[in-house]
Amino acid sequence: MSLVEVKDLSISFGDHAVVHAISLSIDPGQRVGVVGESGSGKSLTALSIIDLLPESDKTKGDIVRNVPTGESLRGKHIGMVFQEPMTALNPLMKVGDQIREALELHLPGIDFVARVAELIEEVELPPSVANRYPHELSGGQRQRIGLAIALAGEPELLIADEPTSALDMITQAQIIALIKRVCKAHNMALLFISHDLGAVAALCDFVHVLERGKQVESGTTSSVLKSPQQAYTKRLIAAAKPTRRRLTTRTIGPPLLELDGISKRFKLPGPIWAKKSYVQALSDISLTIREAECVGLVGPSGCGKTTLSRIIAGLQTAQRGTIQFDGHAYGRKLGEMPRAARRELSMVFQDPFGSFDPRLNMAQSLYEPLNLMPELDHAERRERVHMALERVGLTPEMLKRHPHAFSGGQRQRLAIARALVLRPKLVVLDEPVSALDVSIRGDVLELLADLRENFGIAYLFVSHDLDVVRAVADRVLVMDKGKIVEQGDVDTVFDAPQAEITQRLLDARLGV
Amino acid sequence: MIGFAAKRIFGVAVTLLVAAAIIFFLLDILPGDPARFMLGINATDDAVAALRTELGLDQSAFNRFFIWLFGLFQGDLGISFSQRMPVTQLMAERLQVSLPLALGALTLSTLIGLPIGIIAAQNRGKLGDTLAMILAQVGIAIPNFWFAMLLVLAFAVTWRIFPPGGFVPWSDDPLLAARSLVLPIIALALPQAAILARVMRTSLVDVMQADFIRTARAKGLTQSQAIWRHGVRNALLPVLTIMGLQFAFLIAGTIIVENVFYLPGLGRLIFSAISARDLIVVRSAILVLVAMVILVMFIVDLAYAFVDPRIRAGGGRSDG
Repeated sequence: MSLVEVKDLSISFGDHAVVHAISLSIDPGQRVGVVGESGSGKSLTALSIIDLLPESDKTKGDIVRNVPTGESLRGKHIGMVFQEPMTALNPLMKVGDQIREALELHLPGIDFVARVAELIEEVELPPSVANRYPHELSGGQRQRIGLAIALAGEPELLIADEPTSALDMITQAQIIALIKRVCKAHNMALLFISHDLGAVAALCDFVHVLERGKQVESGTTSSVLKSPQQAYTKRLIAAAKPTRRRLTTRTIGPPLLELDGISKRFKLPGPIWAKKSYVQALSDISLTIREAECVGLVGPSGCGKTTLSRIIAGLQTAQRGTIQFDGHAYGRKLGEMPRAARRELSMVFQDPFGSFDPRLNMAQSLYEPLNLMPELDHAERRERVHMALERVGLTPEMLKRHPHAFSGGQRQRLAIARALVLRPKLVVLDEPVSALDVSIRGDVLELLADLRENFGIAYLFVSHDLDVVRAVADRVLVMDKGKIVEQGDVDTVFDAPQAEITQRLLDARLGV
Repeated sequence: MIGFAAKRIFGVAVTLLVAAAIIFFLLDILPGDPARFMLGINATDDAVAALRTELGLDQSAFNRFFIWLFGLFQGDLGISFSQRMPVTQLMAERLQVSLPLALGALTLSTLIGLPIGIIAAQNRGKLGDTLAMILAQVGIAIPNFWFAMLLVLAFAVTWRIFPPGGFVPWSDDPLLAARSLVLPIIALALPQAAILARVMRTSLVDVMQADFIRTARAKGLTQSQAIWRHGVRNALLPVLTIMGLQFAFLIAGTIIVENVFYLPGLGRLIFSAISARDLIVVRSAILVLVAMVILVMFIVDLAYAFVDPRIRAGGGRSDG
């Protein structure tokens, strides 16, 4: 008898149907994956199984849960882990107490302190974390605490809704291995929700593919991956495989950007009279990017990738070192990045939802960088904006709309268009495709390759995704703990990694 | 936590010193002779000269500042020019009224405002929420002196439960003193409660959307358990700031209500000192008020740190 049986489940917000007649069943101890892109209805399906849908949503169909009636469902029989480890825990409560709360609800009368310690050990954390607050833990550690909370009631089913999408590759691989081990040890069933086929393949025996609220394909993971029947599944599988590398006909020119001995440290908080302590974010970074070259920058989270890209873009200053960019020199002793250099450099950020001012329409956002070029008249500005839009495959009519009226993929195209209006020589791309669905990812990478081909733009491509970097970059820099530990031609570095961290990053990849 | 408090205490001391200097020198650098100003245009030269000596105006401003500061540390704020009484004694008498008034009003407004805000947030969009928010809107809109007069009419004139005004010192008749503060406390607390209810509701509605509330539900808590155990404390942070500002207002900004009830509070003391051009009282009273506001903000900061561990730790900062 299956543990949970969902029959023809439909969910709608008002008149708008978002989930259409989904059926799935989970047997005791079975690990089932639900794959789909954003808006496919996969999270809503999960929330309806644990009975947490907002009251305003209307559901049709049946959900049969074969658990003893009269007892609480949530926590006791079904545990759930959520996507965002940063916000999923109460920031004002020690994590041990948050685990203990679940125990008090479901297992009254046991030795809470001892059981909390056991759960923390089970998710492979040191015992001392019980007395810590969520902000003192890393994303991966918080996600482990989320798992410990879900395990506290000893449920028969664990639902994990994108538990690793906010984590870096190495942490993701560890969390997936942990979930698998815990499920096996307790003979616990798993419903794993993800946009990432690789993660599903690593964990699940059975998979359901959802597209815009419809179930397009179901089957054992191996059969679906080996011989997909539907076009959509085939596209997802193709997109999850490493993109084929596109060679450029551009010749790589003389050095455009040169960093020499860049160091940056942050002061740690403490009493004003105490000896100051620092964390070294970057130590003695030197690198070169040539004209029309695409350089990848990879490393685990917290290695200093973002700080380095912000320093290159002039958003932060380093304590030591100099930067030469397009004939301008700047740095700690040489002063701020000059205005004339700023217009030769643009930046594209990870989150296409957060990187546009929601109150400005797209015209205002796209014309704004041109204030750096006061010599342009109105017609020239217009031409630049329209051309940039055309390049990214959008039309000038869209300029009147505000950010909320665009999809994630469109917004990232607009962010690239905004970076292009200045016709910069260098674009710093900070995880430009990580927040995008896999099917759009390929389009955006293709667009970046086109732009480089046509305009000879150089890129610094910051990413945690090694396959993407391998597909787009000529050269790669590997960072760890604020230092560049390895660099060279992408194929050389990835085929024969020298540094330990490169090897670990490569091992953490989840293929399909 | 102790490190955090020590850091803040240092800040409080510096702020107080700077505030004292500003208050002293601002009044001192004003054009004209303070003695002549205090005595008015018809004063004789002899009287002005006598007052100058009494005020120590023949000494340098710095000397006078340090003498004043030294006096402050000993609790000596000088002698009131208009009332011929030590300012310390005057202030102490007035604080006997103003402090219980402010504390009482703050406590009452918290006891009324927070639960209403929480209930409104729990019933968001339903009848209870709408009613509570209409009430809060009315509470904010009603002028407190008018409300105070209604209270006097109802509870002092018609039903004679509470005295209509006046105040006897605590030492004479503590019960009567307390009773004469009841109506003013209500009059002051209600508009403040209305503001608190609105802030609490907005803040809690925001927090209820947070992911950790969903985690709490998934753990097995009911919606209202999740709100009480996880939501309220998180929603309290903006409310604390508002409460600090309200207390600062309640200490000295209550002059209209004091007038309605004939209460000898701090507000009326300052008002009469300004009318009587008594710079000595004005200066000291302002300093006491400033000190209270700084102290309250310090307490709010501590409360913040107590509620939120992230503030205790402080944020990382680049030194570059």
